[in-house]
Amino acid sequence: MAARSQETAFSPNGQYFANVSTDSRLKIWECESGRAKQEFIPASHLSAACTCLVWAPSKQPEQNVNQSKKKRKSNGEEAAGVAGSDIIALGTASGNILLYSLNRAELVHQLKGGHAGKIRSLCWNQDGSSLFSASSEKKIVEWDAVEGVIKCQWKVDKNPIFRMCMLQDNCTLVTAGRSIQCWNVETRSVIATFTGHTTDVVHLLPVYSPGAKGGYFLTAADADRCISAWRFVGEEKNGQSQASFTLQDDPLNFTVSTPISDKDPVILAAVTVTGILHVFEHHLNGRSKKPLQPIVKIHIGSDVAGTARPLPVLSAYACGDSDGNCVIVYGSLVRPGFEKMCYRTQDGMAYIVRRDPSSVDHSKSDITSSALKIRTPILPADVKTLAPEYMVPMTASSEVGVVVGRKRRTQNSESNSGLVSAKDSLPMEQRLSALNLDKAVDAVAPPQADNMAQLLLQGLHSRDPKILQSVLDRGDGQIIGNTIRRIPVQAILPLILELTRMMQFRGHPNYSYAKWLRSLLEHHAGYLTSCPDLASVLTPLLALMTARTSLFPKLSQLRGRLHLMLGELEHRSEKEDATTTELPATALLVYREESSDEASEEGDWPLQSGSESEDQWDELSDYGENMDVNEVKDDSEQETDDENNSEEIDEEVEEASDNDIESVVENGLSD
Amino acid sequence: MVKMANKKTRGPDKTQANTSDIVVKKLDDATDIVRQPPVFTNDSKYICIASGRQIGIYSVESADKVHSLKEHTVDVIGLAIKDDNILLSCDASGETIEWNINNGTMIKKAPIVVAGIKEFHSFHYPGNGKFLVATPSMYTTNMSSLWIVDNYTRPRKLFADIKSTPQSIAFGCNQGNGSLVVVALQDHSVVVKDITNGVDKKHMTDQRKFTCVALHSEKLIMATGDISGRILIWHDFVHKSRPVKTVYHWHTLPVNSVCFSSEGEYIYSGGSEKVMVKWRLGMSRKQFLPRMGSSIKYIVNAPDNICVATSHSDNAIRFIDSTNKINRAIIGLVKHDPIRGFADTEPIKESVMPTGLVFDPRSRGIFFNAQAGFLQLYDPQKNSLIFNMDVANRNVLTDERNLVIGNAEVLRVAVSPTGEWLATLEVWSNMSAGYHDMNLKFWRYDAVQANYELNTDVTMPHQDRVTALSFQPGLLGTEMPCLVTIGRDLKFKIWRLVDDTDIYRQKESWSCDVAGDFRKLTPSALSFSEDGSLMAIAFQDTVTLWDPTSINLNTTLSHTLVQEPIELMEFGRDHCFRYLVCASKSALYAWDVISQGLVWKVGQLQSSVRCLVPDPKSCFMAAVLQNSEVFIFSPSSSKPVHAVPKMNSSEPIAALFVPRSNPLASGPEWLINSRLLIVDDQQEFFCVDDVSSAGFNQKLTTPISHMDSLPWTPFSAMRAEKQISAAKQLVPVIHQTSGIQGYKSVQSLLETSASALPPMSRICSLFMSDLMIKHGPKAVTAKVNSVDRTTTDLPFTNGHIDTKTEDFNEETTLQKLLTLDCQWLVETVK
Repeated sequence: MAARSQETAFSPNGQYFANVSTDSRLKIWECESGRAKQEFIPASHLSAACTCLVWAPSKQPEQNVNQSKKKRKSNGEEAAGVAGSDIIALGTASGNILLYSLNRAELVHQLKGGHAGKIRSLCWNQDGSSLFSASSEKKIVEWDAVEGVIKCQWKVDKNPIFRMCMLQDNCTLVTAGRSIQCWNVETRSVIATFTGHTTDVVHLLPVYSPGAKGGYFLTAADADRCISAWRFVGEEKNGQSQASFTLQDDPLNFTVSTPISDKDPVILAAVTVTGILHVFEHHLNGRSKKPLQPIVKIHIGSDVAGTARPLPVLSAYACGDSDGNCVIVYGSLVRPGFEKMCYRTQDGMAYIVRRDPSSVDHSKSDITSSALKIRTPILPADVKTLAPEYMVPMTASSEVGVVVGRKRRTQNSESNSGLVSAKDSLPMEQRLSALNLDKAVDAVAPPQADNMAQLLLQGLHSRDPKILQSVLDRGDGQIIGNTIRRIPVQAILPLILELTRMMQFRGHPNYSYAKWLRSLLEHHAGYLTSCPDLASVLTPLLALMTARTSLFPKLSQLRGRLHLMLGELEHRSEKEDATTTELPATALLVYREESSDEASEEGDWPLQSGSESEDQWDELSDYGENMDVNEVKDDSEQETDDENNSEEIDEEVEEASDNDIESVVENGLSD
Repeated sequence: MVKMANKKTRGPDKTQANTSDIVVKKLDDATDIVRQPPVFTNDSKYICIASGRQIGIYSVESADKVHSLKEHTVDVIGLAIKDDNILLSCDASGETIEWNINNGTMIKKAPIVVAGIKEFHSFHYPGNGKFLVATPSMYTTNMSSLWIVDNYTRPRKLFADIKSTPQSIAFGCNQGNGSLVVVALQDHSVVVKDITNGVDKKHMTDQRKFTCVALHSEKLIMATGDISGRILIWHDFVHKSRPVKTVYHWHTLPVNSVCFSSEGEYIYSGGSEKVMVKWRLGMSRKQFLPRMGSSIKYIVNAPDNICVATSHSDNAIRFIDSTNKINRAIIGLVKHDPIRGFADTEPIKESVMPTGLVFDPRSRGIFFNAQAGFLQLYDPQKNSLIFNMDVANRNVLTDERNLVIGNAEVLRVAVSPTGEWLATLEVWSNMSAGYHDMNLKFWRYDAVQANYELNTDVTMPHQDRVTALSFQPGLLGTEMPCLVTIGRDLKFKIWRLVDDTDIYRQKESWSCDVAGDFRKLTPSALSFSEDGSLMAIAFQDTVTLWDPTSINLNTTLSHTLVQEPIELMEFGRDHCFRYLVCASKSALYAWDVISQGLVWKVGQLQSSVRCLVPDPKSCFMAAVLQNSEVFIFSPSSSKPVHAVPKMNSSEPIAALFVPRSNPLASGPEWLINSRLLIVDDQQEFFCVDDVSSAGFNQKLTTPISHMDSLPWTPFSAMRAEKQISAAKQLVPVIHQTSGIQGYKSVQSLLETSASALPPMSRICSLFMSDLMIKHGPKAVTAKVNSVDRTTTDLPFTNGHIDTKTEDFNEETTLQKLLTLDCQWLVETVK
């Protein structure tokens, strides 16, 4: 007897996947999103474990139109039975059968009183109006699923039944245990038996195929590595199997598609106990002597930090559409992963790498977004971000302007032969000679620390951004000049490329890069003009500059306007100085109160200034200048590019501050 | 070479026999579930939702549809629960249907008759066989008249010129005398009618327009919301002409919905701030549930007070549990809110669902706009949403009171032929702030993690708005993929995946390879030939053909016959690969790119072509006109294979051929492998399909009757099958009644001057008994007896109080109190 630890089943349309665990928890997942939709724990889950699980059938859409019309005419809607695939029938060890509704999320029915022993197998008839159950006490009961009463029951004498299924004709029930028997449901008698399995049959699945008479079904026995297909045509004793599908290992479970027309093959998706999915495509017509091989075997593994670990496939559902899609459940039943996959694109043996679903961090996801099916895409840290400056190749203003921005490296590997890169480096000879040349220059003079040619070459060679940045961030004109002069000509083009790349980012270091570039162009213009692919190297740079400077005229205008405004403000403030803002000065004067006359106390300061010494006048003018300088300084902070200006201003500021100190000293002395 | 065809006529017809089988049908499950407020059943187990012509009954527990009720022929305008198990629905023609909620069957169908009225706006059911229906107002447009209809036939007009939204009418019961009170909103006033007592009131406020109204279930308390975000609570508004109002003001935007909790302790309110506010009545305390994702349209409270359902403008209903968390949701396809905040020069078609429908070959789904900044993937086979992806990844901004603040919107989407790459263009433009931002994002589908991963983010890919983007087809993994964009800055750009590896990581990223322009003309349309070897870009009336690998201009095509600017352009598929079909404002024509000649032209179209979609599985193409006519044609000839007449008044905005999972056995050639999906401006989905494959009305749930055998627990073994008890059931005391018990006695105590009061020891017990909650008559008598016992001890009350225990009520208490007072006074005087 097979130990079936876990019962799993797909809903008839492959939308949901249900599992009853050993402690009788029914869990239902939505295959599309992979989220665990519902979990149901029967009240009796500890006393009477669930032993089997089966979904109610869904109606075929084609039949539905006609059938439902007829039904409605004849006896109203109630006769339609348990149609709709939201009902799951659960058999328990105590002999009761539970009907759980997925949509209502509640237990809708409990079928009691039919069995005393453990339920071994359940199956529905095709329209879902009756449910058959087989138990360990060798009895089959037919239930009316709507009313919940026993329609009829009969004894099967000989052997225990492990599996049951209803064939396509809707009146033949196949039971499988030690042997396979076909029962007529109306007469409740055995009409055919099939032999072939040596051990107990533990898997049984009907095949519905249009146009076929009788019905096919598939079986697999305990400890047997093949799945057999059988055909029921009529009364028969000791029927033979029609085809056998070989697997690598014992089957764990298998599902079969329902072909739409008789031209389509039947797709069998079988999963072995070792977790390998085998997909077969076969036309069930007549006996095939050779065992059939799978068209594809799929292994799934996880790849965490380079160590591959197999993720067993738990179950698979063949959708049976024209593209060959199947839904695969993998991982562990605690938290399985779901994937819809097109098996036809895979080769005979496919190894697929997937993330282990149990390793997914769910701490960030919340109920709200999963209820609303909101998915947050991955935003890695190293997203390439492009800004307008450097992806706009310059437009030639011909009738048809096309400018190639960046040559593709794959195509232009020939022209790139001069570049130093990680892949195609210079021959050692050339490099040595280049180094020797430099050394020859160095050997004459005492060693100096004012060039960074070696470091730069190293950086260019390894394309290590850290080294390159440490060199290129230096903005000292002398170091730049020395370094540029010393690098070999072979490094010029790579340096330009690196500079181009680095200048694409915004920010402060661009200032030093510009210096490097300028120096490079100054020193090596001769080499550059002789360079054949100069255009392709410099075009992006040019485009970048054009784009960068596109705002320059506007900025200049703005600056001009600001100057005008500030000039005006200065002017005004000077005027104001001349009239009112001498309050500190008056405060100073208050100190000299006793020496001044009454009128000067209340009067405005020009009167007082008349009585002041020449030093005081100088002070005032200094103050005025001071104010000016501060204003200009603010301005200059905005325009950091203008180096000369700022230097001048710095000098002025220094002077001014000197003056200030002096004046204060003078003031103190005069006081 | 140029063959002229006349104006398009209904095609020639070898396919005539088949065409009668082709139908246009509305995809029901993709409809609006938030147009009407949902209704909970009395046991709070199910929620009923009207969506178009059908009604869905959903389980509150699982948020799955249990029944789909489809008997109405026009849109449903109102739902109500009649009895415990009966749902009452009314459609716009006045037809009402009673449904059994448990098994989803129809019980009774009857029309409401109001003389001379054909159309109804809204429907309410106060009970006792009376209906409230709103009908279009006679004189003013967009206003309604409210009628009360007794027993389907006897209408009586209550109000004229009230607002026609479903939340502008409320009804309640006057607790005092049990009469029905109906309130309705006009723009600046509330009209009140007490039906049985015939009291009419009209309350005016200031110039703020009302938006919604709700009535307390037990007391005469009314809550109204207005456009300034203020909630007013009205007390005693039936009898007083100037009722007392309490102001609750948190919202800045108009209040879309107010709702009392079922016991009346709380009010829920919501609006476009996407925040649900829970107010405690009579207190300043309030709770918030922020960031709900989308603006709230309706709030409905479950009768058991355990959960609240909110309808949102993104076509979802969220359930909020008692801990103020969203834990479930019923989702339809997310509706895209029309984009606001663009400049007025934008064409209208840019504002609703600007991405159109984009097929994803990997998942066989369709990408299109969800709420602002989101992109949803829809599975047309299962008719369900696969996921809703946050593309913009920005905080959602809400409007200010007088300022429209736009959010980043996804304007264009393209999927690479293998489905590995997804390119999205998002635009954030805020005209009032003069800000314009545009991002082109390249996402790679990571199969290992089963999610999209951002690869490259390009800010401002063009100087001006990008009008189209397209991946180069035909490259099934053989070469680096390539994307072409065209923009209003007169340029077209070609983006390629390049190696971006450095010593730290292996990486590929996208980069602009080529930018070009053509005679400083605006590129307007872009198309690749099926094998990807030829790229066509339309510049006004000129078509330019380029070699996509070398970017050499092969040919320019223009003709004096076609002078209008090209709006849409598509290459033919299959054996019509050589034809390039172009649509301008009034004409449709085809170029042969091999012989380089105009093949045919159809001029003077009745309305302009809105969408031009090729079928990926056959050579046919569909042209969807603005007046919703559809023509199916082969690009090799101007004769349509099939013409679908005007569907309805709505305007199509996007169309797509969706491949079938299994080809049709028989039917016209263009329908065998795919079907045509059309979206109109209301974002309703229509499908042009063969009639045989039309029916997929799967019955959702079993009509299983709930048996009494149900919950079988270990504890149930202790219970008998049937329990009959002769003992009287104790009714639990509900302490949640608001207001003050014995208000009148307190009042009389306070009104009497202190000097006139009897000693506290005498009136205390009486006073206390007034404050108690009274039960049935039995309990009351017991209490009164006890009162009597205590009072008889007092010497001077003998003979003065003759208490009748039978009609013990507040009046007698008061009387007693007053007589006591007098007695005491008299005695003191003596």
